[in-house]
Amino acid sequence: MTFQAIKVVTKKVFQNLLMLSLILVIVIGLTGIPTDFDIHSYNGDYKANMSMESIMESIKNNFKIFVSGEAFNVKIQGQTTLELLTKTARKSSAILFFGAILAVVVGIPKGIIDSRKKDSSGTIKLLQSLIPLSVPDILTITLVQLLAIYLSKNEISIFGIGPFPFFGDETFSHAIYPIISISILPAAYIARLTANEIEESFTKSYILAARGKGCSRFQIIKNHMMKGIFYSVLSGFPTVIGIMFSSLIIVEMLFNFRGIGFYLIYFYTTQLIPPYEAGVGFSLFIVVLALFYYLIFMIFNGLKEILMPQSKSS
Amino acid sequence: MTLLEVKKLKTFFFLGKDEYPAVDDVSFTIDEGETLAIIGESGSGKSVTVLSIMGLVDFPGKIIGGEILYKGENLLRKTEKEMGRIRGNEIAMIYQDPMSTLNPMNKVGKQIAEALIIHKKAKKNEANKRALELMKAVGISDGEERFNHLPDQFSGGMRQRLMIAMAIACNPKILIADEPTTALDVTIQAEILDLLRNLKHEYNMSIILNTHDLGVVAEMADNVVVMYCGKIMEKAPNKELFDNPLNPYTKKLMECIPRIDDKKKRLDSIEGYVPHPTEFSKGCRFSDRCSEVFQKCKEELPDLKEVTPNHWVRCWLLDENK
Repeated sequence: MTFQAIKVVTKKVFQNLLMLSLILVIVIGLTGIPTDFDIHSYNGDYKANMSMESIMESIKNNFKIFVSGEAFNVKIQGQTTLELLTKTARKSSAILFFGAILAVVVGIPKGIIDSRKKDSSGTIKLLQSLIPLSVPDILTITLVQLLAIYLSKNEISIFGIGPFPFFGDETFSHAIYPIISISILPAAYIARLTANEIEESFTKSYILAARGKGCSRFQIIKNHMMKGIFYSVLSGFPTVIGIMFSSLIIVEMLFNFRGIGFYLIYFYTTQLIPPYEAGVGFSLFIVVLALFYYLIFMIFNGLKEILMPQSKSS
Repeated sequence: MTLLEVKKLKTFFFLGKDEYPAVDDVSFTIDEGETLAIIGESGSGKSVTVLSIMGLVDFPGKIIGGEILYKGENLLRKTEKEMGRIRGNEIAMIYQDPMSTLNPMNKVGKQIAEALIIHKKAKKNEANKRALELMKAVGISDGEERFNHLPDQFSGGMRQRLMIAMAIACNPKILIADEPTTALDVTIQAEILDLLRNLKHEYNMSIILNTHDLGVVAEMADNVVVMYCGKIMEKAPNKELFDNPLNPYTKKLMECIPRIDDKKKRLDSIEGYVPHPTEFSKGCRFSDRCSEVFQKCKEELPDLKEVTPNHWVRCWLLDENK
């Protein structure tokens, strides 16, 4: 039994390491393509601004930079890439972490409210979580920013709190709008997951039996559905993380919140950093982002495996 | 003393513009300590009747008429919150399929204790202690060990025992058993019925027993209601009904009981099928399958009439003006 368990765990670890290595090779390879690489159209003919050999050379160099550890020591605007990475990662982690918590805290109650509404308000409530999922994330985030600007310009506070700054990253209050922006889509997604789980559970015989015991709707959700909702949200969390990572760049750019996402675009577009340093920074940041995403993904998959066996057997 | 009185209950299902009379003009009473059996084939409206009593009929079903008087109060006028105080506390129910009526993700002890916490405002420890006693009362001897088990660690018979423990947790006045043995192994059925019988005396409960097993009815019931296509066809005290069935449908049901001394090669059955609600005859609903049918049966629905004291029958054959 123990040997079997060790075998299964070893296999899983090996599979994951292999997958991780593959992802790293692809990411380092792709980010090795020089940032000033371009294809021009001239008289109906398309031509690259650099040869295949030089691109391959650049990719090879990129691998060398990572293997030797040089990628962490390149100086950008007076600080090493590692220092910059640590600083930005802290900022991005903060908005991802608090954004995820806000999404769960808002999403689950919203899903509970949205579910099983037979009156006309049910459609409106359903739309509240479907609309954010249907419109482009940049539009949602822009609308939050416009609201933030409006509140700030007119010095409007909500429940005596605020107005909060809508630009920059100096204090924690600067992170409020980025956190709200990054949590809207995941909250809508979690609300849908929760509402669907509740809808489905209400058709189950054990819910009828619970109603027969005298449980109120609240008691049914609390005592008989919460585990199901938790497992459902846990299963959906890799998707939630994916949504948050894709929104991270837009949020950080729009709110000038200098995290990993902000610097990714900055490295790619700025003329203020030499191409070599910008290229190394870009590669490093994207590799770290990929690693970070993979790590979180694995943690949630692992949690699911550990916590869900009871529900699997039933 | 009458505990529950169902008067002209009508529960219909509405799908699009169509309406399906699942329970149509059903009336009966149940006294304290009485066992009332409701019998009939699948689709006769037994389950919808008891779900109506519990106030658990969901959309597209709706109770459109009648009264359900419990201790003189009409349950149909009660709010959902008020009904919540009665369900599981005053009137409890056990269901047909114990495999799906226990929450697969919750520990069984917790599920039994839940009703006590809700209705008796018991503290968690007290409720757990009482749940253990109830597990013992329904024949789960190693309760301490199995209290924290999940339902899938129990057999079908054991799960039905757990369901019974859950139902009797608050000492209900009425226990509704909706085909409690249908999904169980034949060898377990007798044990569950014995348990119900013993608990009935111990807790002084009234029982409404939904079944299509006439053997069970003969053993357990004081009074019997025979239903077909949502209508009561006959109701009578147990002995009277078995000794003197008057409705052709009841007679046919009785003929279907296999007898040990019977030399027949094939078991009897009622020819034809229970009609779909859209195909109900405008006359007697059994007329399409009745061997004693005549013209009036197909044209007009007979009333439920008391032919001898406490023996009610719905059939034109017993009408003087047939």
